[in-house]
Amino acid sequence: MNPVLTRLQAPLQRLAAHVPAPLLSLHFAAGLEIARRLKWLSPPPELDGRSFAINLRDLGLRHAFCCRQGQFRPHWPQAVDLELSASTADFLAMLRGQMDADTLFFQRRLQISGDTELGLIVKNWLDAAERPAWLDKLASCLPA
Amino acid sequence: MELVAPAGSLAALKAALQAGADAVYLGLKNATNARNFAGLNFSETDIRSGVALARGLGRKVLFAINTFPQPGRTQEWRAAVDAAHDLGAHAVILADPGLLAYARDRYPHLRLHLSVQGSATHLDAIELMREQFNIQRVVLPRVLTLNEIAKLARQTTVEIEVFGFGSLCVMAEGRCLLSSFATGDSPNNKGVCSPAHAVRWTEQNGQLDARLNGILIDRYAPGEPAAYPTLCKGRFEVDGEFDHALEEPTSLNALSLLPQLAQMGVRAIKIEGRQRSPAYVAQVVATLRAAIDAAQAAPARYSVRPDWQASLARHAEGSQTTQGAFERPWK
Repeated sequence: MNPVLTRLQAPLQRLAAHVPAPLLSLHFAAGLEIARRLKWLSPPPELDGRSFAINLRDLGLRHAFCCRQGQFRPHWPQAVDLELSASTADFLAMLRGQMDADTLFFQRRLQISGDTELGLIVKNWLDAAERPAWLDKLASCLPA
Repeated sequence: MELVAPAGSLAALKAALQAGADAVYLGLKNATNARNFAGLNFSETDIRSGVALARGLGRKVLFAINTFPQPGRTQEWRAAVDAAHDLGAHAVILADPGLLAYARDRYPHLRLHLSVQGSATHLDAIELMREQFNIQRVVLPRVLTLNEIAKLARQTTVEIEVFGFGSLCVMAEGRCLLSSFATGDSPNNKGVCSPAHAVRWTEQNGQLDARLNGILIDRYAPGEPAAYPTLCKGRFEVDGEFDHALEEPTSLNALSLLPQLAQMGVRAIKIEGRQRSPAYVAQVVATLRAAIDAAQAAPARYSVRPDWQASLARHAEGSQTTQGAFERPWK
């Protein structure tokens, strides 16, 4: 694991144990919504009305959100249409476009549950998205 | 030898060109191609950008229209050929003889490649397609040995393209109806083996179940490499034995055979995987680019570098690779 993430792992695990899930969901959805407003993310219409959870297995953090009228919103219920689970490093690698989701899946590093077709839409949407240049610059600042 | 790369999006096309692909193959967002997956493939705007980019670099864009027109819907497939021509395709990859005839008559200057879905495995089939439709290239099904490919290359003037890397299936290409027994859909009629809407993954205590339309087709132990959820790669109990009844999930890897393929006159090496991400495309294309260049520069001194093998093995389905039918010892 990335040394920065390793250092953060224990405090974030403690955070996850104490912070109520809705609060995590609120912050995560807000982050996505800011990215959308800055035009870094533009969700396809198929995501509308659907709910999602991103589960960072190593940190024990689960972020649920939904997409309503083209905007990202927090999602309070436990049940979601699609849940993706992986390590933080693998999610970051996928986000930077440096890791193939199928490869991770074959290696059992990416878990998908719920609506598989929705999962495919999300995967193909992210694959097709152009990555902003700052994302790579930011990643290159992190030790390998 | 040309390196032909898959692209399921404009980002993948750019990644392929950047990594050194000579040609990229792609499909429209409909059932006219064999990777008709949700959210995948190209809009016409993306194709225009991709074709302009490729032409600017002196590379090629090939259109896969490699499923079979369905009764009453022929116009959809013809429209795809029209779009390919109008958008500047260097060639169309077709399987259906009726569609080949349409393309030949309507666009006599458009290059025609016979898709692997056309399932031409012997000289008579290839020559028939050349005589009837003037095909200029055939993509060989992955059931032939090196000796058989060499013989074909000697006997036909049609360019030969073979697969160099990617997921393998049971290779009943163009004729496979296996998945339709579970879902009603098949590669030929819907462009998809296992439609995502019919697939469900359930993981409990590390044990992963794969279900296709409710049918349990495989159960992976904790940590065991997984595969695409297709019937042909499922494990079933047959005659009291529980195993892969048809085939194991694996990927073809022809790295070590590149000098032989070049020497026998194979004109193009194809990478499977339009459904994969730009990251896969970039890494697999870069690996095969380096290997093909090395094989062509000094065939006698060519050897497969460990880092090439590691790069391809990382992306292999089921985390294992094979030389498949290229070197079947029992043949």
